[in-house]
Formats: sequence, structure tokens, C-alpha cells
Amino acid sequence: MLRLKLALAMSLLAAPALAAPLNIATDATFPPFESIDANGKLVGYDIELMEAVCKAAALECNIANAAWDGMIPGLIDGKYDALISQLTVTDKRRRVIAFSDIYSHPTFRFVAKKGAGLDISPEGLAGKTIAVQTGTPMDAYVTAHYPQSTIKRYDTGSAPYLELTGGRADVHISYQAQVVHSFLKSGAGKDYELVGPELTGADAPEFGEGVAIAIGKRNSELVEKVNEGLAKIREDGTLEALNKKYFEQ
Amino acid sequence: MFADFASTILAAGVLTLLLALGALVLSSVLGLVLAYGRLSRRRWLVRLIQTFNFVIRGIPDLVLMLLVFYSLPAAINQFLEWSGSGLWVEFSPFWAGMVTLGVIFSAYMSETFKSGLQNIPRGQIEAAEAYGLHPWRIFWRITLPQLARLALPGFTNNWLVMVKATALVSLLGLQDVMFRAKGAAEATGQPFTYYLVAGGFYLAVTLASTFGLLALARQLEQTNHAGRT
Repeated sequence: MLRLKLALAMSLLAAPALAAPLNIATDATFPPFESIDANGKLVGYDIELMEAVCKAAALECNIANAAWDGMIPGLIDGKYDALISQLTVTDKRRRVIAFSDIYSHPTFRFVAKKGAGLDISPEGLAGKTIAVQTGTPMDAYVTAHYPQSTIKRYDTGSAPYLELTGGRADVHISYQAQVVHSFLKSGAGKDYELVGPELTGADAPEFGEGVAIAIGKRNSELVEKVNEGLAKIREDGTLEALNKKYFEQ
Repeated sequence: MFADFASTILAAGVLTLLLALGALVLSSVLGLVLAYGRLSRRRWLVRLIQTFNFVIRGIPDLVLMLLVFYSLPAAINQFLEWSGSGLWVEFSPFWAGMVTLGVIFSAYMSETFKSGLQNIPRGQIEAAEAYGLHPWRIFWRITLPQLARLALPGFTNNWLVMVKATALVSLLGLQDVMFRAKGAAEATGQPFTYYLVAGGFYLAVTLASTFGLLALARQLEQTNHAGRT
């Protein structure tokens, strides 16, 4: 692995090659969508979906674990061919990158202590503390709609849960599947529950139109191929099986 | 599960150490060149190196790292596209990280080496020159053995800071100890456990190199005394 990296590094100057496997980046810090297993291997919904798409579209893909901060700039610079990381489609992002067809419409939920009796509305949460992962659609949503609440933003997906159990935040909002998988099913989350309505992109523009694979703006050929793959796995039931595996509770 | 995650994190220690050692070699060589430059009689060279040291030491390592890895290739590529050459550059995170760390710490190393060089009596060099020794031979036989002894405390200090600074490369997506620790922390929802594993790794490296360098210092002290009798 390392030797390979060194070899790659030696060729600082490289011409764009289409024959090589596609470089697909993911930020594997967001279970159950993308994370590493105990051996450092990439696992999760997005990973399985991407592998299925590549197979269906007969693309050779190399999915690599990357740092979030560099992913969108890396895509624009051509360092990566595509990104899959529960990326929500927004107009702002459309200006700099292209998206495949939307493959998932995630549900967002608040989570709070059982029996806290919180009224999930801008008025009901006035003066309360909302913990949220920074730079996410959830962050954009509470920032726009909950001006009377104190919003605490964290760099990672796990930190808001520590704030919640530590009593430093009253409520947290995230992808429902992430809340269930990473928190409610763990020992730490047994006294907590999902609260408030199921939110989707239809409720607020901040949640985006849905989740899609991001592709470089100039690479319309790849957009087409990925969409072909997506259509295929939608038809043959692979996508449905994946949804069942990850989102059915 | 803990053991597997922990070994996944520690396996990345090889990369962290390679990065640190590579940066150490680069910063030492470059630092020595800069130190000699600082002591030269050419006023402009001294000024140039002073400015370099000032700028490098005045900007946080993290900012420099992000600039080199994300902004520099983008700027170069924009230029290349504008010039229509059809080429495009890409920095590998390993080399970008190592070179950036090496350059940053060369500024610190040059300060350490400069004061070491200043503490070697000029008379020794003049005497060697009078005997007609080649400058390289003067460097290897007279300057370097004494510099090693004089600069070792500062050198040790720089090395310890640099080992810890390698953690910054995790932001470039390089799978070092810190990057893996974050992955494990987020996968399991147990950040404390896995950041402690990472902390333990850096501490172990620090401990081992402190002992190693102490032993080296003792050795150098002895050979120097032996040489004097």
C-alpha cells in the first residue's frame, strides 16, 4: 500500500488518464453511511451503493477514504473523479460540481432525552441548546429556522452525542438512520428517543433535494454512466435491498 | 473489536514514522544549509534567510499545510491551463506533507544549528585551513562532531515537536495514526478510547526517542572527551 503511494508520489506530473480506475472519495466518519470497520476497510450504505453502481455501469472504481475538507476542492481540481458521502444536492453546490441522479431522500430527526417533553418548534426550542455537526444540511436548517435557540456546532458526527449525554445540549438533529445506528442502538443512547416530525427536503430547502453522487463539472460522460448504473440497480432491486438493510428498523 | 481497531490505528504508525523521519532528514539538511547561509558575509543572503525564517515561523503549521496541499496545486493548475500546456500537477499527500513539514522545521533547525556553529571556536577552523585541509574535511572532522554535541538538545526538541506535528497530515487525507483514530472514533462512537490509543502512540515515540537521543548525547560527550586527551 505504502509502496504504491510512494510510487504514485514519484510521478508528480501526470497527464489525465481515462483508462485508470476512477478515484472516488468518501469521508468515512459517518456510520451507517460510510465508516471504517475494525480492519480499516470502508463499509456502509454509500460504499455498497457505489460498488453496485460501478459494477452495473462496468466502471472500474477505487473508493478511497479522504478528509472532508479536501473533497469538494479535490473534485474541482480533478484529484477525484467522484464523491460519495451523503452529499445533499443544493443550488449552491450545483454551481461548482455536477450531480448524478438522486439516489436517496434522507429523513432528518431531532433526538432528545426520553420524556424531556420538548416542543419541537422554533418557539418551543427558544433558549434551548441544539447540538449539530458543522457544515451539514442540519446545521443550515437550524441556523435558518431556529434563531432563538443556542446552536452549538461540532466538527464530528459523534461529538454532539457526547454533548447530549453530558447535559450540555438539549437536543440534536441529524440523519434519522445515523441517530438510530450510532446513538439509540448503543448503550449511551438508551435513555434517548427521536422527537418531532420526520423532516425531508420537502420541509425546508436547507435539507436539499436529496442525496447524490458528486462528479466533476466537466465530466458529463461520467454523469451519464453513473446514472445508467443507478437506473440499473434501481430496476434489479439492489437499491431496494440496500434501503431495507440499512433503514428498516 | 477494540483490539482490531487499535491495531488498525497503530499499523498507521509506520506511515507516521516514515513521514517524521523523512521530514527530519529534509529539515536537517536544509536547516544546516540555511544556518551556514545565515553566517555568511553576504548581507543579502542573511536577509533572505532571516525573512524566510520569520515568515515560516510566523505562520501556523496547519495553515502552511493546507496552503501547500490545496491552494498551491490549484494555483499552478490555473496557470498551466491558462498557458495551454495541457499538463496538470497533483501533489501526493505524503510528499506534500513531508516536504511541508521538512521546510517548516528547517527554519527551526537552522536557528538551532546556527547557535551551535557560533559556539565552535573560529580558531579551530582557521587552524585547519592553515594546515590546508579541504573544506569538506574540515566540516566532517572538525565542525560536525562538535555541532552534533552542541545542537543535540535543540535538535531533540525540534524532533519531538515535529513528530506531533505530523498529525496535521490527517487533514490532507493521509491515513496516518490520527486519521485512523478519527475513523475508529466515528465508527464506534467512542472517541475517547481511540484518541487515547493515538495519544499513547505519540507518547511512546516521544519516550523512545528521548531515551535514544539521551544515550546518543552521552556517547558524543564521551568521544569528545576521548578526543581531547
